[in-house]
Amino acid sequence: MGQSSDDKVMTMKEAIKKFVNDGDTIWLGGINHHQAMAAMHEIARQKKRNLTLIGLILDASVLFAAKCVKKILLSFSNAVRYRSYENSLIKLCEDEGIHIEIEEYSNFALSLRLLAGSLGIPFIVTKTLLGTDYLKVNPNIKVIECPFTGEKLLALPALNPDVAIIHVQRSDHAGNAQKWGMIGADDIAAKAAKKIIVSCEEIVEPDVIRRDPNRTIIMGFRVNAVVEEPWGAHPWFVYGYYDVDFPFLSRYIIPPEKGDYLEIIRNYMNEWVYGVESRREYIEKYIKVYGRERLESLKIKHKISSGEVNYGYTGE
Amino acid sequence: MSEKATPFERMIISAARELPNNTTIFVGVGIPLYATIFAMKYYNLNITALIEGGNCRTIPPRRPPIIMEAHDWITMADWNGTMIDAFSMAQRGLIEYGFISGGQCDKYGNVNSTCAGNYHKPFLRWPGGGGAGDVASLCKKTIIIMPQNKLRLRERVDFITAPGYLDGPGARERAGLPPGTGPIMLITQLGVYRFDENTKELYLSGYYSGVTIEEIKQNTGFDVKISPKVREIEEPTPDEIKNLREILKHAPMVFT
Repeated sequence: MGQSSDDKVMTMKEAIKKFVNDGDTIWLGGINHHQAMAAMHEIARQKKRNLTLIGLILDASVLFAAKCVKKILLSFSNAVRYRSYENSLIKLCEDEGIHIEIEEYSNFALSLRLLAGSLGIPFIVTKTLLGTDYLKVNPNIKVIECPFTGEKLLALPALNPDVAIIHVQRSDHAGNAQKWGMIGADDIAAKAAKKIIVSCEEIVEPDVIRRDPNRTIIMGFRVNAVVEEPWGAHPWFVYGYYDVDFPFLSRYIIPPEKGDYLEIIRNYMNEWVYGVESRREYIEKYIKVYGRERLESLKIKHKISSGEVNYGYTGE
Repeated sequence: MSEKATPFERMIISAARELPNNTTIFVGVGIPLYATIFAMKYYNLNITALIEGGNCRTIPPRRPPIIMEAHDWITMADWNGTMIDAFSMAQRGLIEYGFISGGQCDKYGNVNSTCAGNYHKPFLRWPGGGGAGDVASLCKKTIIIMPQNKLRLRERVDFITAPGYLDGPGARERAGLPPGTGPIMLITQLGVYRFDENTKELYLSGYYSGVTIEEIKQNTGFDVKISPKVREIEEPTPDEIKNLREILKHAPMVFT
């Protein structure tokens, strides 16, 4: 606990400064959807160092390019992808004297580590990945025998990130955060984390949350910072708010067949990460470069609303 | 565009034709997703399709999502939830089929979507396995779809991301994977392969018209077995092609 709810609402600059330290292990939320881009750009600007990233399907390119990363607990990230090593973010880091450590997981295995962390137990067992080469390259995956049946099981240690940064649709001032659409592993990552930064499209009145508490995936008392960042996941997408900006994303996400990727990514960083101070400036710049119309076209226009559910009471 | 299906389109149509009705499928990223949507839409299959982010749907999306998780897939879904929930159902043995793609496949149906070459110094690095390893470990029957050439369909994959029959009969069970599970089919741009019940090795069971056995051998990195009952696969109909193209125009294949 510690903080009163009034202290929690802050800018991304303040939140990253206060709650992300060099050397931290950080959960970055979403799976393609709800990528915490506003937070990642700010971490890059503040030049945090030696971070260990945890993500399921994670766009970590800007953090690699900004030399913030030491290690990644990887399930899937385009940041490690290359057709030629010479044209890769791994090489860019190596040139700066950073040898990126990749710890290889599948989606289920990595989420199970967080689940164990959220349960407060030291490890968890599963039947996935037995017999695969994950076991050969990842020292944190071990095979054990079930004490009851004797069958082989994969054992994974609990994971408790120093910080979880999770982008959601809405939160109140206290950090009661609501997400809908696919949840991925954001719920358990928040439960497992030591500190939580909630990044949201909108800060709403507590009543909005309390009228629909089933949608709350993070309880306010666990949250350290609440940051209102409209368009906080751009060029990725937020359910019910805006869709993926595919042409913009394609500019930097995948090393091209031909051409200097490192040049592309350096230009991207200078223009869209270091060239602005905040997400607000990033969006203003976007409007200046591409026009408001293109930004507006990403918004979800065709609304589908759920039927009402009754959270009412009896008596007087 | 020509009225004839491209090899890539033949591969997807052929996979969609093989998908069973009235079942549960854990669908992987990329080509499997588009093949499943095509099958649900065009053949009107009754499929419960799960994806790893924590979602399932039983009606096809209005329009295929440009990216796996995007709005078009969650709109009018039957269930949205968590990744743990989705994979637990597979781990409990409740999901009949897994449907995945990959970068390399070997004769035992092991799939690699991690890297090519030595793991510690690969000459090509994919973004990572995502949920492919989980789908192939836990679903009862796995279907693999992947374009083939000598380097992609090989004696032994460089890295086992998604387990097939590992190094042969009984190996999955010895490793501790759920008994009776494993790959049942590989579909490529040249033909369809199935797995021998005894040796667990894949063999060619069908090829597309115009493809020769010679061409198949040239595009396989090991001495591939040919079924004595090997047959030519029925050509895609103009209607199948037209409907598939409607779906593929939404698909950015860079993300497969």
